[in-house]
Amino acid sequence: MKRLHQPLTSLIDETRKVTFSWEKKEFTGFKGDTLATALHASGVKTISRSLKYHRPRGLYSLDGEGVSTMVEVDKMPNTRAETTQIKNGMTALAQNYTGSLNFDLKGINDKLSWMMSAGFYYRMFHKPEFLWKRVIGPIRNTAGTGKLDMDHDYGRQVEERFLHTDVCIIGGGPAGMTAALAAAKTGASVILIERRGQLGGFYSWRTALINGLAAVSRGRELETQVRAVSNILVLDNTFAMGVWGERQVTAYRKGKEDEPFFEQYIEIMSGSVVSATGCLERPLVFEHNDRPGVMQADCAHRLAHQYGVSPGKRIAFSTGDNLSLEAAADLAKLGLKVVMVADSRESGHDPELLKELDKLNIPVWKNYSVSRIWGQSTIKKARFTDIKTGASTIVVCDTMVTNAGRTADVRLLSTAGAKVRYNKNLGYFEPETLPENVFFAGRARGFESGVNIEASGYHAGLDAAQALGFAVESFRKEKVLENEVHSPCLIARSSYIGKGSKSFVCFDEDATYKTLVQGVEAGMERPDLAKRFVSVGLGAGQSALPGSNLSLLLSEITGKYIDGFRPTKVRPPIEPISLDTLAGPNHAIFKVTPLYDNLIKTGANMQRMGIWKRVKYFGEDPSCKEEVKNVRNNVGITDVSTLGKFRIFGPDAKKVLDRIYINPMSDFKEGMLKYVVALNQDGCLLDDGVASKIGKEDYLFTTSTGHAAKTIEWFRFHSRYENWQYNIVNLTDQLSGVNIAGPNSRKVLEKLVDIDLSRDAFPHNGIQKASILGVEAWLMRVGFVGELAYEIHLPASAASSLWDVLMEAGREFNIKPFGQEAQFILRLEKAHVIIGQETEARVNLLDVGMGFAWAGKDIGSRKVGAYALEVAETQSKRLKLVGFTVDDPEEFPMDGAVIVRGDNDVIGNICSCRYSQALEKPFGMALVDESLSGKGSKLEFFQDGMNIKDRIRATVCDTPFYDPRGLKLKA
Amino acid sequence: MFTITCPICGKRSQKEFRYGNEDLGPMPPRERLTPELYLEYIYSNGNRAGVQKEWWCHKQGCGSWFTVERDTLTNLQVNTGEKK
Amino acid sequence: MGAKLKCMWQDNSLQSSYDAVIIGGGIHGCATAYYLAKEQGMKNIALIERTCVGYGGSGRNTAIVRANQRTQANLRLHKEGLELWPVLTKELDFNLMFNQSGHLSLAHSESTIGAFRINVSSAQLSGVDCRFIDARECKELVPAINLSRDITHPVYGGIYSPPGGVLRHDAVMWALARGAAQHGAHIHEGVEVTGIDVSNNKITGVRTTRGKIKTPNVIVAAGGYSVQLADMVGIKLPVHPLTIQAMVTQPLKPFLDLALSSGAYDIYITQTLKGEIASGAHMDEAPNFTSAVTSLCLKHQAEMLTELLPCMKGARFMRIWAGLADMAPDMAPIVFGNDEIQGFYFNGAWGYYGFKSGPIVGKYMAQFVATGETPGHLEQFTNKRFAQFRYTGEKAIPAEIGPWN
Repeated sequence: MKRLHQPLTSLIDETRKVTFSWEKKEFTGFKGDTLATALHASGVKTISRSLKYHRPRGLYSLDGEGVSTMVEVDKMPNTRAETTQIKNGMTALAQNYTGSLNFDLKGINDKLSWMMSAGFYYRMFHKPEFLWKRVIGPIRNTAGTGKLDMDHDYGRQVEERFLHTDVCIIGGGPAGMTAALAAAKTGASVILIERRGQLGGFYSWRTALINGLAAVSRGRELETQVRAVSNILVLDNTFAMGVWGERQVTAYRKGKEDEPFFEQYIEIMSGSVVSATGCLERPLVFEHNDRPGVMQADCAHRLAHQYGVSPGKRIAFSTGDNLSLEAAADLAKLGLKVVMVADSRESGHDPELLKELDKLNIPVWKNYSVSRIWGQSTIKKARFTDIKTGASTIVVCDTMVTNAGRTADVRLLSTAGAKVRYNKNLGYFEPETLPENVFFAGRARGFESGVNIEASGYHAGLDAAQALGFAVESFRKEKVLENEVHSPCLIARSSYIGKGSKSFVCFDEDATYKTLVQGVEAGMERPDLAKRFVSVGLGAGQSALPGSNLSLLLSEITGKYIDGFRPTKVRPPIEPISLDTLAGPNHAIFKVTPLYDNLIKTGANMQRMGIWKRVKYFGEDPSCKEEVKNVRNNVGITDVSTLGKFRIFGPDAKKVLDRIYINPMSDFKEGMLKYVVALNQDGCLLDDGVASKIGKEDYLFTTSTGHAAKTIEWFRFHSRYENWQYNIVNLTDQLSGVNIAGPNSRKVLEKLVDIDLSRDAFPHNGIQKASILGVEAWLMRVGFVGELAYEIHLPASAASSLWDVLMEAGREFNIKPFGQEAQFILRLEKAHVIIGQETEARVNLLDVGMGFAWAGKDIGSRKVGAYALEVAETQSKRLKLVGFTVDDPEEFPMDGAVIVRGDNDVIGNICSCRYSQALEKPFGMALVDESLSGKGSKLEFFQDGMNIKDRIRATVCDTPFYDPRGLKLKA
Repeated sequence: MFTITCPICGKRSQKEFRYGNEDLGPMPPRERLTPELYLEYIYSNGNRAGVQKEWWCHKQGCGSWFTVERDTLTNLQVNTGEKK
Repeated sequence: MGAKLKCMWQDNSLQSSYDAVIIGGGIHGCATAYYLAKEQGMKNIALIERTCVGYGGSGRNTAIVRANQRTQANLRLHKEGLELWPVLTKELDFNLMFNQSGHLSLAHSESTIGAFRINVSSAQLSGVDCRFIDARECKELVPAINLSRDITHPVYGGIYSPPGGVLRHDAVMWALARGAAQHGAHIHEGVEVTGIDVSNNKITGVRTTRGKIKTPNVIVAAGGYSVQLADMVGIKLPVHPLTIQAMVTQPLKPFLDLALSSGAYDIYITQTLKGEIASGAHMDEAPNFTSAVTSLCLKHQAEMLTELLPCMKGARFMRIWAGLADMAPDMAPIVFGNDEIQGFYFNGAWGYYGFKSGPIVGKYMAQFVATGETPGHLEQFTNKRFAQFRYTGEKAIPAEIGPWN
């Protein structure tokens, strides 16, 4: 279809055709078209079906506030046709219909709407009981708009951008631009966010004169100035999601053709914020106000002026502001048929515009509004009613341009925490209180003249800079605000809409005037109750359209003053954002040790444990029988690089260790390690490791893998009130570690070091410095797995070579690597506790039988957790950690099986249970009520999948299970 | 979102910090402790609706512990000692 | 069906004395009022609510219900709670929209499966349908799940609890308030309690912004504000008020049939009847009363959801909100009453478990107030446990440094 000629304001390039598909048919538009404008130009009026009643819906505002224009674009559901530019090859589909878009079978819901009153579902389908279960499915299938394809990869090129600025301005219209220019002039750094592709706001589609210059030209003039200033960053095509705490602004930007991203997530920390988001057209509520062909005034204006698309063949207006009068005149000047203009206001009409309309032979009916239209997917005729007398006239038309005047767009300010109040003179809710360093400007302040809008922006920009300490006074007098008098549109709905059963208050959720009345009758008259009960403003449009209408209508229905019905807080994001863009690039980040390649080469099965990827087991056997056997009989090697390693030194180092560890700290022996346990204030185990005194006021200690990252924080927290002098250094990533364990481990190590490894020279729990591969290393004789074992900690860069050398040296002794699972079994046979496996938040050090570590009643050092141990020490009926073996070796209870007394009294649970090759039966440790913790006590286990009456029986026994006298350990 | 001003690194996002309880001074001496007093100390049961002095750790920064005064009704830090 | 819906509950004038005053118009308060009036014959009672019924956590949570708690006592309570929803639907003659869709809690490591076995085994012992399923079965129930081993937390399996599900929280609130009012309770909205009067260790009255009320019984059920009310009578409790956030996507055609949770991914989601994916889990670290939402949380949820359920990259978040949760160190509630102060009852620290337990605990609280004796199911929640360092076993994770100590 040929487009209207409008060179000054046009956004499309008629020389560049764009081909796309809609509902599987090919369409063409021009570069610059949105999906909505291209379809409208091609005669497609219905682009979606509504949520509940499946009513046909079409374009409405061109800014995509409601679900009415949501379609599926290139598989992406719920995409806004009004704000999505067409591209060659784009595939778009309508959503939420059964059958075809034009003949939706579920359109029957619309006919049945008489029975779907407010709170309908709350009173339906629950009697008889089975009914509800049957209707849930159909209800769910009817609801929902877009559809996700399980097998489609929705991932696209996304980016993240994190910015800081002095002043962040949202809205690139005249006020936003002057605010940016003013703030930048003071030296402040400025970010200007604009949702459309060009700056200019409502100047962009208007030719009316602002100070003698066409608005669109004035807009371009300002845009050129703004883009030339180096301390203004312009983010166009950018949708602000909200202003969060301390003026953090988040937004997302759509990539242009030449940009490397599809969408970009943006976070801005700003010193001050200026909201210059302008006004929204307040929707007019009347019968069938949602039909395709009903649109807002700016929408009609922009269709014609920016896209050269005719809104319709016979256009009627029912509006309430001067911009709509201007739109009517502009449309007529393009040769379009404007039948008449009904204006709901009594006064306040711009006399120049009235004159112009008169010249164009367009009748203006004051005090009138449309009360009903006829027609399904196209409008056939409309009824206009005198607001006061009720006198009605039928007008034949195919397009209905409507609004109930304008209302400030305060959504962004609301997310920032602004409260609103009703302003009678302006006819809308305006901010009552603004958060610190948040300002607003422009049309939303009630200004209509371009001069005032620009001046208002200018001063808001200066205010925003001034709040941050920039000198502004010398710039103040450049622009002055003039007085304006307003006669706003005060109605939200037409008179004579009957019950209003098809007068939609919220397009997103098909809430009508009638259901709102029913809600009030049910006592739901507070906006926050009404919105939930009737479902208004909870849809994807984020109450942009129904927002203040809900308050106005509740006030009208209840007959109470409007200020008691202030709109509820707007919840971010005010612009819905795809989870793909929000999530950003891949975040699955993990750490590996320097031995990663060595391990993989040896057949390691890696698993993520905390932030690390570690070896679960080697080869094919998850039960690790051979790994375990080899450690017990020959020698095994394992990667212990993830252990926390720390050095603490200084005059008060011992005092800190004394505070953190529950063990006594005065009995360090030279060249010896000490097993240490850290508790929390409840007396529960937090961490364990070994510590050694390596010099005067100088200590080395290890922590468990999981606790490494928190260790320094924990040490400092518990010495925060002390003026202790100490230094603590985290060596975890500097040092890597390898543990060789088994009866042959000494023989392997002897080949590599020149120190005396004999039992007397280097006993169990000994620690020595040695040179290995020419590198200085710490050698520790520790025995977590219960065998003769050495842990070698050396600089990370040497770890990989060490592994290879040990493997080579150990070949004659049958050295084999072992992983976490084998270590788990080996240590379990020694009844060594793993924190988190054998402990939980309700058991303390004494409960797990580790009282040996406790230094005892403590006065001076205030050991963390000692007091809780003192309190609990004398208590009975606590859970206790016990060792057990299963009576029948054929039965195998698993970790987490519960211990039952009587029929179904749970009195404990298994912490760990494995099969022991040494014992030839399953064994493990369990937490159980004290009464059953004595040696020989019979435990009865139940676990999922067993017959409810069956039990697995086990007997409490002494621990350790393996080498109870520690002869192998100390070999 | 809120920020905490670290005395060493300056104003940073909340996500860089760890909360460390109300500032109640050193733990009362052992001889004065009762289970109730101890609990009140370790769990800081004040639950003040308003400004409270508390400990924070700049865990993803310099690692130091320091006290700030924060309003629990707004999450805003008061008396940061910095120019706004 | 076209019939007029009568006003759900009336505004009564505040009397100068009541037999019992319940503070807090959330699910626990309304349920307590309902059962006191209906089952305990206590008709002269008042429920005082600072804003409006269901304004706090009760109207902000994701309304998931289940009975697969870790400790057996808690499990039995929640089993009864789960069985109460259909009864309440009938009794209150209101469709609470109980969608018994099932609940699936994912395990992302073998050790989590071990930890979950306690819950599953205890549930089966107590006659609750609950079982382990493997990763493949998880995928059958939730086809959107990513079974790749290369994600941050690969799926190893999960606990499937068919009786779990989701309700419409607003419906529950309105129905309970209406039910309480129908049985004679007075519901006073927009009234704030400013003080609680105690004389000789007995409750004598409540002071409010609308004047004094004489009463021998006060029941605190004010969610995040409960500890401050306890403070009014000099009782200190180890509870922190924490802001917890939740969010929804735009409506989508059904692709998630059950309530899905994953501890490792910090995810707790359902698809509402309307088609939105409601998701929530993030809880603040530092105590506060702000109910403030953060971009951090919104982004974090997107990161987690898109990794576990890749097709959700095609969904859009449209709203985030927050409420207060009152959390005790062992993540279990605190319920006690009528001991140091006669007539003072406390029901709080429900953390993020407040909704599922509401009606059943309200029922027992009513019994508690009527008899003065702690009902068996509630004994485990005594505030005395803390001074003895005897926590409930509800918290599965081991002791950790953090906001507590």
